[in-house]
Amino acid sequence: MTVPEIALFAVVVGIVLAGLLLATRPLLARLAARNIRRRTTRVVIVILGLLVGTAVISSSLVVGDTLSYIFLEDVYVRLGAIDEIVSNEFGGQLFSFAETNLTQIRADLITAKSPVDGIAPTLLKVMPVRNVAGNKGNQQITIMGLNASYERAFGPLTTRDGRSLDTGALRPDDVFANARAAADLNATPGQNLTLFYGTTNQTLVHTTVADIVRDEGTASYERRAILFMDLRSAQSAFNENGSINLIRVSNVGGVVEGVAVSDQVTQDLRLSIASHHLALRVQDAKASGIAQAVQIGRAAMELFLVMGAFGILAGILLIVNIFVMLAEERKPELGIARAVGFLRRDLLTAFALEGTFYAIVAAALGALAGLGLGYVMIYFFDRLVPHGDVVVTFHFDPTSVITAFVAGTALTWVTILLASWRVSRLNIVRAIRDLPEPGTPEQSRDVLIAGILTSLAGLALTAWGFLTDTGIGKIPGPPVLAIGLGVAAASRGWARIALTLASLFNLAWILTPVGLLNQRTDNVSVAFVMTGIILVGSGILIAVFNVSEVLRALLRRASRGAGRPVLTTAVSYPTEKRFRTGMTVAMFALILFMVTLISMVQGLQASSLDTFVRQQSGGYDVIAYTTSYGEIPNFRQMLQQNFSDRLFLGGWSGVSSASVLPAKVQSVGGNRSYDYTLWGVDNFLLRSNGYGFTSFLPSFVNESTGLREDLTSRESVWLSLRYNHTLAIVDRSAAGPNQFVPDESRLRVVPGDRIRALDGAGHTVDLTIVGVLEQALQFTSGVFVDQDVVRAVFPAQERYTAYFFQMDPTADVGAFRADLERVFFPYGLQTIDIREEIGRAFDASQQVLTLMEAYLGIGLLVGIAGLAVITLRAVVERRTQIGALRAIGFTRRMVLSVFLLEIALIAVLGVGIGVALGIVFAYKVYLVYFADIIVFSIPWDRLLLIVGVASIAAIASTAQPAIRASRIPPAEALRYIE
Amino acid sequence: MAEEPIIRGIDAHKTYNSGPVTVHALRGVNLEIPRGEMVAIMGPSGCGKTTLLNCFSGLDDLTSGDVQIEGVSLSGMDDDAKSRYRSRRMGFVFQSYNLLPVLTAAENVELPLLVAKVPAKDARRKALVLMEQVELNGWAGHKPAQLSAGQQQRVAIARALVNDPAIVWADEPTGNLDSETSAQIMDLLVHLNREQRQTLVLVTHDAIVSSRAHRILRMRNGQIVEETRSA
Repeated sequence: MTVPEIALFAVVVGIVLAGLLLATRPLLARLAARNIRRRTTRVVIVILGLLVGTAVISSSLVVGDTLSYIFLEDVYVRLGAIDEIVSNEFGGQLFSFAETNLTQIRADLITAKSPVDGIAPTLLKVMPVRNVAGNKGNQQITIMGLNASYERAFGPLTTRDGRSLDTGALRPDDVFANARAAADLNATPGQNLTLFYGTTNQTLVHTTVADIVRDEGTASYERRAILFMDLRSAQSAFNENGSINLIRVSNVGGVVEGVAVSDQVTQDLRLSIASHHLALRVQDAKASGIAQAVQIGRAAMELFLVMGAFGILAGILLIVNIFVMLAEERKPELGIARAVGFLRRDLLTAFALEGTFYAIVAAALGALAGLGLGYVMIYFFDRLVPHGDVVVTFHFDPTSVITAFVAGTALTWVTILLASWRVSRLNIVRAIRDLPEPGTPEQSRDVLIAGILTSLAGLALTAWGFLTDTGIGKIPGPPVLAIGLGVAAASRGWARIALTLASLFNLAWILTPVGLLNQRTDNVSVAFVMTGIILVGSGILIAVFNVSEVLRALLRRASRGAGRPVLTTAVSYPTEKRFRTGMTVAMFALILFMVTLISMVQGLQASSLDTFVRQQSGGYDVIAYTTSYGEIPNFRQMLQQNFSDRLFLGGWSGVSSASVLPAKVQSVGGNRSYDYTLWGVDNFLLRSNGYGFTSFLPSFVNESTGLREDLTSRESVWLSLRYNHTLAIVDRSAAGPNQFVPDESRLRVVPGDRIRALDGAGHTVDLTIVGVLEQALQFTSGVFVDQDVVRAVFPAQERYTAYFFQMDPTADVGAFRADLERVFFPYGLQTIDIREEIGRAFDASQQVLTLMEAYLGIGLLVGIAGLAVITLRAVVERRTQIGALRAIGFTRRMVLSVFLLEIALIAVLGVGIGVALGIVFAYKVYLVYFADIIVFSIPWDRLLLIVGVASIAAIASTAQPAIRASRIPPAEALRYIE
Repeated sequence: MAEEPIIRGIDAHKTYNSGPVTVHALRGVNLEIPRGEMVAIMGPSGCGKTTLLNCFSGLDDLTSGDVQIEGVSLSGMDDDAKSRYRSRRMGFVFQSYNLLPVLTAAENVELPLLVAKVPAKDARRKALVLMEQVELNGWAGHKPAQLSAGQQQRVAIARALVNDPAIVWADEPTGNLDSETSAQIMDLLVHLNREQRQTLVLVTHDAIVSSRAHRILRMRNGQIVEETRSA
């Protein structure tokens, strides 16, 4: 049984038991029902408070559902009937192979009775295309050559008015354009298009648009802008007679169902390829896409759950708080009930029945509220987060809502049962007289045993953590041990000093700038939640055990006059009721801790933007690259003919280039290779780039002189590539420490290590790492060598070219980019403004963080509901005391001030602890992971805003009962009997 | 006792609306209490004793009529003025003590002084003196829950007297106490009344308690129906 199934089972059993109790113990049921009806307003607040936890769970699941759904839909749109793809792909490039391979594979699939209903050849090319009439072009139009006789299983191409077309009917120079291509080229039927095929040796192909087809089925392949040709015409136009470069396979079943047999078909395809020794690869495209979509949904759900975990926890604290207060409030009547013969289990039952009502109603409402919340999150996700062509539609699986309901009910129930059990253990006489429970020897013994058991658990966790090198043991182990010892000492009457010391130790343990996590094996989310709980819990223990003394000391020095009695009274209640105060403070602190942390990350990101741009760009402003393979002939000559050197910093030397090869890289002697880009940089780039190093070799051998030369500066390390063609530089992504990239997916090298770069055709080059860059680069990540190395070892058709421009500060970058793309359009040159691109990514990431903050803000509702419940209770509980205060001269304003100050104290403690620990923890994360990358700063304005909103919300939620308390006439307050 | 009355009630009426029923708690009470007098108000439950105490002390408002304290009409004072007056000139003792459970005994006692803006050190000194007078030396740092019922009432008395009030209002001050403790508390109140010449108005059911007063007023149905002076 899975955990949700167990929870569902438990909830069903619970509901059945509750039903039985209602039937067999009508008196208890009546008591529970009367108590529910007793105070409608409070029931509403209790339910509102309780539903937040369920809403968080529900919304997390629903967000996960939606993201899975939209990416799943995207897979179906992008692939249509295609389930598997066969190709000779290397580094993103599709190499051609003989069309006869298709015939062989097809025959094998038929023999193997493979569940396939279509297998089709394709010649797929990407190139710049220009509409001759409209003079509008696009550098990345896909051309697909199809053989109509194989296309039945993939569906027809359909015109906008619903006619079915096939490429067999096309004349040799005609194409169908899908709607996206037609829009990109501003093309209509009958217009002529020029296709620019190839880079170094370019072929111009002239075609005419025969018709426009809808973007659906084959015409929505990868959501690309596509021109369809007859396969034979395409082979002829691109000099690829008898060749194709892609085989599309459709399994039996529709677009959705076919994937069920993907494993079998993939296996059959691989067997066929292996039996004929073909250099082809099979991709189970749809199955992988679906798995990826589900993974995205799961990751999103986990992210929201981790963010919401603190809200859920705050919700649990609220439940405990509410029930402890309900118990306190009803203590005398519970005592009387016991006195007239109710058994302990009767009280437990009555309370549990009442709790069941709250749990079920709150969980049901919470699950529905979560739906709404999920919708809001998705709405803002759609508005704020760039998501390309993916269509965002709200979607949920009803199972998720039921799961949230079950989880919410179970969570509330367990908490309520524990609280009820505590209530049922009251002393009858003390309960009737409403006296506090004194500590008894039995209780001290129980506390001692609890402390010893907790210490042992902490010891075991610590030992396990260090022996197996896991943060899941190392993070909580010592803190649990410390708290256990503190609790044991508390049983001897040293609670304050022992628990304060234990908490201080815990703070130090978590905040010590040493990474406790094992990045490879630990679940970071779980570790993060644990860390947050330990930090906030410790902060709260220190506060509740010491705030009283601190405040009293301050009070002795503080105000005279009317403020003093108000302050004395206001601080006395929260410092006296430690449990209640601690719980409420924790609700605020947990949420504020998380919000602060996210805000800090946002702030750190914002403050490091300029540094980041500088480090990422290496001093370049614009990068241009060809979309098809090969090199632009006479690039510099064309550049000089069309542009002025004043556009560039340092004239023409401000323009550099690199021959780029998507390669595989492995450590020499290692057997695992990784996808890496090999950058063959030219002399200009070697001399003008501004990329710095974290580490490099002290010297190298100059191949032309045979002499060893010292490497003393950044510039000399770059130039060493020129003088020694066996040297390479890697960016930070290929070298540790990078705490967030698991070792499995990246190369791990240091200066001096030897690596081998290879292409798909067996060309290789061995290189020695001379330096590691200080940044993991976003646009130029990979291995840098001299341009001659790439040109000498790897053929031109495997490479494309990138150009780097250092712009003069007075240059109009936008205009330059437009002109550059226009001049080099036939080569498909595309440009990137580095600052703009980073800014866009930065904005998106800031928006996601803001969304997260808003989501977490919902957790604040728990804290606010908690304060409201406490204040309502306090007003009732202290009614006669309010009368006494009024009798001895407290004015209405003074009574109001007492309540507001008390609330403010709790809110300030909660907000203060949360914000302070959030900042400190962010600093630790910074020290461990980011200190050498970015500059630490605290976004005070943002934090002040958060603190302000939280404080105002706290005061606003409690103002009404506080005002009501102050307006009670003294005589009425004095004669009040609840 | 031929002094100017410190408390004067003139045709005092008080009605409560309890759902559809209107309760006449005071029906035209006229009353004068001279300074330094100890007056006991007696009568059956619901006769209006506590209402009289509440309305005459300014804790509640009259429906009609007036109460003058030291010649000043309470109906002319707003809520804040009444609060300030209470903090300076009145003390209260309640049947259930009404101490603040989160404050220590000394803190409870000094609270009225702090409200009256007496410096903290002076307030604490005075509170300790009062605690000594009510024989609670050594209990200053204890919370109410750690004290016996009699001790709690002594704290309440100390709190009532700490600001040297002109009038002390006591509502069933011995109602929750056993007879022996009751006698001790009454001894204390009588002693303080004699010694400090404070006016003491106490509501009680207890004939033994009322016998210690200078004058006993009996109430029935919201009216004073009988007045007895002690010998």
